[in-house]
Amino acid sequence: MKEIDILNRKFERERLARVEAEKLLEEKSLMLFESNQKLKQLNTDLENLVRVKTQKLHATQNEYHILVESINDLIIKTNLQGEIIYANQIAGKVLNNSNSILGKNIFSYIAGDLRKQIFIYVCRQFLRNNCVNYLELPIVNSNQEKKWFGLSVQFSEDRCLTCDKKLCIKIDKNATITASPECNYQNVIIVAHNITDQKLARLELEKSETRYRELTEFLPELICEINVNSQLIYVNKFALNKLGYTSDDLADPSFNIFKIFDIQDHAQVKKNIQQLLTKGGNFSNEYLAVKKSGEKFPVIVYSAPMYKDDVIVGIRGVMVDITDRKKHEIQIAHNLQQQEILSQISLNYNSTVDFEIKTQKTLKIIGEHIQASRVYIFEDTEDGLYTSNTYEWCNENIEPQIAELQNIPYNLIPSWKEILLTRGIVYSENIAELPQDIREILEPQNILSIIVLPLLLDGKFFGFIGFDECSNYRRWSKSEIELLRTISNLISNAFLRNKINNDLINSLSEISGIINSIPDIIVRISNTGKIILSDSLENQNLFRGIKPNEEKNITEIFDEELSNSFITAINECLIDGTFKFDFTHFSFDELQYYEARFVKLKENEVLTIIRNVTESKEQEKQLQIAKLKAEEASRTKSEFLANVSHEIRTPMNAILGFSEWLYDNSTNELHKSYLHTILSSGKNLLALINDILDLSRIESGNMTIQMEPMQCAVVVNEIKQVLKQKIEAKNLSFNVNIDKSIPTYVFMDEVRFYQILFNLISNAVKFTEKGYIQISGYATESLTENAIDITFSIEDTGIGINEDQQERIFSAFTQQSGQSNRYYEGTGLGLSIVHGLLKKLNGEIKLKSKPGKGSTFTIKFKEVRVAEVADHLTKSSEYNKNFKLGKCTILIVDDVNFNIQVLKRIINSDEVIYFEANDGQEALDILLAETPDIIFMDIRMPGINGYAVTEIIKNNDRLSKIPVIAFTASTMSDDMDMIDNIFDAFLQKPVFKKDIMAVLSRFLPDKVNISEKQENISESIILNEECREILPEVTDKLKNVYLVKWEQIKNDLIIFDIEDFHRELSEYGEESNCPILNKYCKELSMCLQSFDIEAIRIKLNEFSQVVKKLTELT
Amino acid sequence: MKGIVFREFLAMVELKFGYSVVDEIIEKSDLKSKGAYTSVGTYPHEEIFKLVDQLSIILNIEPEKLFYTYGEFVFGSFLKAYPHLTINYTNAFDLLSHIEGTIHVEVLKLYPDAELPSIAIKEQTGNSMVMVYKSQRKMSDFAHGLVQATLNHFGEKAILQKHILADDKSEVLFSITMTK
Repeated sequence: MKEIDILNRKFERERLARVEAEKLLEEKSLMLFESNQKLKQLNTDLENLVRVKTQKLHATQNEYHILVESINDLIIKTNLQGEIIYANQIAGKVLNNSNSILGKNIFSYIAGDLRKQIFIYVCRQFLRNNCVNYLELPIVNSNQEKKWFGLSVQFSEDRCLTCDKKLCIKIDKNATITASPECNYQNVIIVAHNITDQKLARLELEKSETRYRELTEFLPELICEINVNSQLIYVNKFALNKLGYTSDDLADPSFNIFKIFDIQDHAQVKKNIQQLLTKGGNFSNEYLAVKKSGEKFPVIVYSAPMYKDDVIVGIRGVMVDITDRKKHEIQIAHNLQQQEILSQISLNYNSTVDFEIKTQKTLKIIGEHIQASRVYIFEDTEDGLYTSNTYEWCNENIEPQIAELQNIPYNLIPSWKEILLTRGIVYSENIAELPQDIREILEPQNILSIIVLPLLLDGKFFGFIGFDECSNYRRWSKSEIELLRTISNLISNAFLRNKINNDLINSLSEISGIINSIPDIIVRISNTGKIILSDSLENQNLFRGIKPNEEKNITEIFDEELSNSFITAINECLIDGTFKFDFTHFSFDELQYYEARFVKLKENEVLTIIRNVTESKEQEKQLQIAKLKAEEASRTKSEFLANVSHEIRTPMNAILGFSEWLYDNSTNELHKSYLHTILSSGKNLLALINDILDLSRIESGNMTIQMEPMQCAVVVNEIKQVLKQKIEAKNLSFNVNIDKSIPTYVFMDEVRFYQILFNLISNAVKFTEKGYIQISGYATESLTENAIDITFSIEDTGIGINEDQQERIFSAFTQQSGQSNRYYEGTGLGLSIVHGLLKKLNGEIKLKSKPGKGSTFTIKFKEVRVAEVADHLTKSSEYNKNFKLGKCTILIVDDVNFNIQVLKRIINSDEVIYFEANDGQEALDILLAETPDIIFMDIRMPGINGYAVTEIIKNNDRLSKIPVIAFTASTMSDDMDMIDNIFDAFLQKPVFKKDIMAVLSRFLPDKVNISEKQENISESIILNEECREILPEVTDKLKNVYLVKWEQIKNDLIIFDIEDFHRELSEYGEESNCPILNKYCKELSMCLQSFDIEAIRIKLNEFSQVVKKLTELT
Repeated sequence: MKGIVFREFLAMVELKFGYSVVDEIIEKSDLKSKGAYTSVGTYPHEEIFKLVDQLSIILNIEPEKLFYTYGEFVFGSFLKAYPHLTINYTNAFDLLSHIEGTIHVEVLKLYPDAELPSIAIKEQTGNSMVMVYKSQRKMSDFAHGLVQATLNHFGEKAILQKHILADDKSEVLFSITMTK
């Protein structure tokens, strides 16, 4: 039951609830229906409203569009990234020349440097204010024109309904702005107003304003601005500095414009300010400005009101310091006055007539002008020791002193002249300052102040001008002193002119005296031949036709030929200034010689001085004849000597030869001693003859010099060999020391070099009894390139030479006085010959000697050319021995001749025919006619160089096959390339013999004979193949024929026989082509020519050895 | 008070203890509505307290605990009844923070005469929240249960603490701290 009750109650409750729910539902439905009806009505109303609103909106939009398009401002819509999504027409026009700017970025129109700055500014403004109210910025359009715009930027939507802008607008690190998609702030509207014109105008204004301020700041004028209360509101820097104020001073409220003007100007300043402030206009006044220090200076002030909006707000004043101008005005006035007095003085001295009176007047002018007490001039005596007062002017009441001041000795006042000369002035405001000596002479004259200036003639002191002040102590201004100095110069000049004038008068009379007294005829002739002045011409033979004071023409006096000569001479003289010619003239049938000199006087007039030179001509002629005679005599003497020498030598051979034979064969001691005397006298005589011959050759200038490569050391050695016996006999020490600085080969005349050294060394041997003989040689640098100076000294410990004799021994026929001819054989010509030869060889000799101690002769050969290749010659001696160039022709082209000689010497073949050319053209000339087997070509030559010549050769059919060897000192790689292209081979200077041999072997293989290496009897002689073949035959002949002959003559020493023997042997030597034999013959020939019996005997004795050597070779 | 609150309370009691207990507490409570509730109707809120008090007497369980349990229970019913109000939220804080601003606003649209408590968020961080319950109905225990049910619904574990701000329980602070 209980459950049923519960269930009943539950159902009851559910029913009640359902009923209530239905009731509620019904109520709700009714409410819903009603509200639905209301909603329907509202919707209709709303739709109507929307329609009306839409229409209105369309109308507004159109209006707005028209507005936007017609407006002059730029209206642009961009997205947040700045991309333009809308722009009105004017924007397109302005920014992109009417083209569409849609899609472009607005920031691209902002100059790059500003872009970021403006972007940041815009962003900030947006974040802060949601817009940019006004921003002025320059825009660069597509034409690159810069325009200024004032712009405002705002979001295209009023506000964002869905978001907060700060959250949905983001700027990322690339500075791109983005907004959330649902955000309304997606676009901005930019309204830009073109303000270019205003902006430019404003900028211009600002610039000019700044410029104006800058200008005023630095203008060297004082610029001040005051306000209406007379307070300074602006003062430029220059003015501050000038007036000595600081800007702090100006800031003081009590400071006003009157402070900078002198009190006496205040009234005027005030009046002007008032007028300017009330009525405007402008003023220029002169005032006295006052500095802070109180110092005053004159200024000129230009003042004008300053306006602001047409109202006067102040006054601007520009002040110019006119101190200098004032000074200049005074100075000018003063200068004018000085000018006046100077011109007065100058005028006074316009002529030298009445000089004394004029000088007196001058002193008066000066004295009155400068208001001095006294003005005076002193003049010195000629010797400058005394001085006298010659002119004086005194002011009123001043005592003249001129009478007292005569012949004052300068030594009384020593300081006076010294001060005048060193300082150029004696100046004292108070003479008490001056030195004692001066004071003593000035004080009695009551002088208080003084100025004294020196008077100078051509820089020479001749006196002084002085100005005294006796009434008070006077300080002279600088310009006064300058004036006095100028006056002193004027007076000096006047004195100079006066002196010149006097001198001129004196010299004129002197000259006319001279002219009248000299024997020359002096006459002025015009260019037409008119004789203008003829002073006593009638006395002269030449002009005897002329009468006193008669005007005649040259043509009337002289014959036609002489007249013409004169006219020509006069014209020449008028061109050149002077002229001279000689002429002859018959006078009383006697030929007279004249010398005429012409000197130009004016444009159409000459002065002619004619001198009779007949006498001196005659003397000259006699002299000439005498000279010719003397020369003839000298030549005859030389010829005679040469002839006589030769004539004497021939019989001498017989005398000496037989004497020697007799001496050797005689047993009678007396005879032997006689014969010895004959022999030694004969030898001396022969030597004398040879010396005389050489000397006469030197004197007559017939000696020829032949420069060839020569070895100094070899020559010295030869001399040593010749003198060896004598040296050993005397037991002398003999040292030779040739320094390495002397090249092995030098260019030298070997014969003469030998002669010089031989003479000196043999002298040393001759005059030295014990001790040593030292020969030293060395080379030093010379002034010319590629040459050296060679010095040899020959030192002995012989008898020496007295000092007084030392100079004489180089002249002919001199032996030291007291020198026993018997004891010291010799001609006395040796040193003269040495001296003469050295002169020929560009050498010099010096002597140092002490009697009893010894002598040293030093000889120096200057500028000896070096044979470069010499060293290599000796090194390559191996080639020498087995290399021989056969018959062929060689052209050597080199502008340096000795290079050619070197090459020839290296090739060293008698069979070769050489052509030599010193330049390209010469080489080409030779090649026209000749076709040499090989050409050695220097590269660098004057005119056509080696390259060009070789190119011509190589382009010529006939010549192109000839090998051309470049012969150059160049090592430049460029040259080398060119040489490789053009030449067949090249030789580097200095050349080595082996290189030349290599070249010759390569290009002329059939001309080169290379013999096998073989033992040689002599260092420098080789035996060629041909010679070797016939050697047995030669030795047979030598043994059978010549050795026999030699045996016959060797002891007799008869020159004729020896000469015959030599001749035959030489001929055979040539025939057999045996170098050893030829060499021997040459040497023998040298000995024979020198007539040195001793040398001949030694050389002759060698013959058996030569034969022996040749026999050994077979 | 809206009928749904009564209906769901009685549905919970019937579900747990049978309709006889429902009948008993209605009969003893002497209700003006006689216990006949429709979900859309509106009834004096004193009736819920009478019903809870009667249930408390019968079960000998404190009314606070019963309110809390009912809160936990009713969350599921609300979810079923008004899915559009809760479906947008992905976590408990999300939902809780939108009660005042969104859910209650939506509720008022349906039931303009509804009397709703104010739920103010005082603090919110990633893992903690402080909210204040304010209502003259003084049903903070009910609210407590609802909050716990919300956490459970999203499967979130948190320390939920209740602090009574006003003695009459008209104002209560809940602090929620996520434990993971």
